[in-house]
Amino acid sequence: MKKMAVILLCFSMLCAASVTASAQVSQDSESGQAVIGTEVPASHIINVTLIGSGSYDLDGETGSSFEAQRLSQPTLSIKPDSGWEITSVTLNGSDITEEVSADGQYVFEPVYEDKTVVITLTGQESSAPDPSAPDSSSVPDSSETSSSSSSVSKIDSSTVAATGGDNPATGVIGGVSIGSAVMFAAFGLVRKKSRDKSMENE
Amino acid sequence: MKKAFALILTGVLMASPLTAFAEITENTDPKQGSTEITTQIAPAYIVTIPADTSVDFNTVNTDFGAVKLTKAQLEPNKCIKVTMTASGEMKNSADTSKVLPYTIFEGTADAVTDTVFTSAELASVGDKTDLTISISADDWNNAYAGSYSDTVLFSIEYADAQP
Repeated sequence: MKKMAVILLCFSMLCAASVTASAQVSQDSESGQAVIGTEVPASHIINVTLIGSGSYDLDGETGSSFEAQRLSQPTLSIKPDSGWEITSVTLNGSDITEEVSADGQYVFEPVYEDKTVVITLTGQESSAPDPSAPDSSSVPDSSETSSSSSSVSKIDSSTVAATGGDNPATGVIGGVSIGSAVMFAAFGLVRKKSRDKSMENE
Repeated sequence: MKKAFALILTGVLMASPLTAFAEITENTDPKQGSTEITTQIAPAYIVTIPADTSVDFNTVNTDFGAVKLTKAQLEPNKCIKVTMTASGEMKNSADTSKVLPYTIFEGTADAVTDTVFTSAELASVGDKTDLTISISADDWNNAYAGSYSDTVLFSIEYADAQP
């Protein structure tokens, strides 16, 4: 009976429980207070994408994503390869090409939010290369591979390793052919040994 | 001795006027009487004020609850006056010289008004004023990194209602 009473009491307390999201002031007190607060982050991310042949750095550091201290003013240095020039530079979608100096320098305003920069370079052929199409005419330059995302640079280095030459397709087919021959040879040896054994047993 | 004491006590009691009721007799004119019934109810009220609130980074308008009269037993022509005192600047915990300005407006964050909240008069149960914490985009952009806070004080007064 006592247990039942305790259980019922607990149940009734659970049902009556409520969540209060405010404070109360009654005639017994004359004032109340509330604290308001916020957190302002210490740094922001600057992502940079380069289209074309060249390189860049942010305050001397290379990469595609940078952490900048809040309210700092880092300098972006753009270095097009020979025969290439800066066509456009956008910052969070806004064109800032006019603000880039003749030597390819851009000083950020005090950084107060994440930034995305897209640099477009144009070569002497007057058309910007398609960054998605692999360049089969020459071995990719290291600066070209490091200017884009890391996944793009990884794909380029594995292609160079597979060819050992100019045509990646020939290298792959050659490799597959050699591997198949070795496999068949091994298979033949195993069959021969098994036949010899069976003949000895007879 | 005991009898004497009892007699004296009885006499004293009879001499003391001790009225617990009124009388209407054949000599009373008019033959009616009245009795005054009195009681006193002290004013009672409960005012709900905003709770502690955290503002998300880069948010211009943030809901800040409401001042609301949730219980009221007030005298006629009386109200509860709620007055807010706020510095208007959240201070950086690491460097109090670094501040983040804010303003408290009337209205919810979705429907904030241009009226800066200073006080409200609440007369009936349910009377309330919604509040919003507002920080401009420029102030956010210029704010140094760190934790900011400020304390807002709500004072309650039992006052005459404005006509």
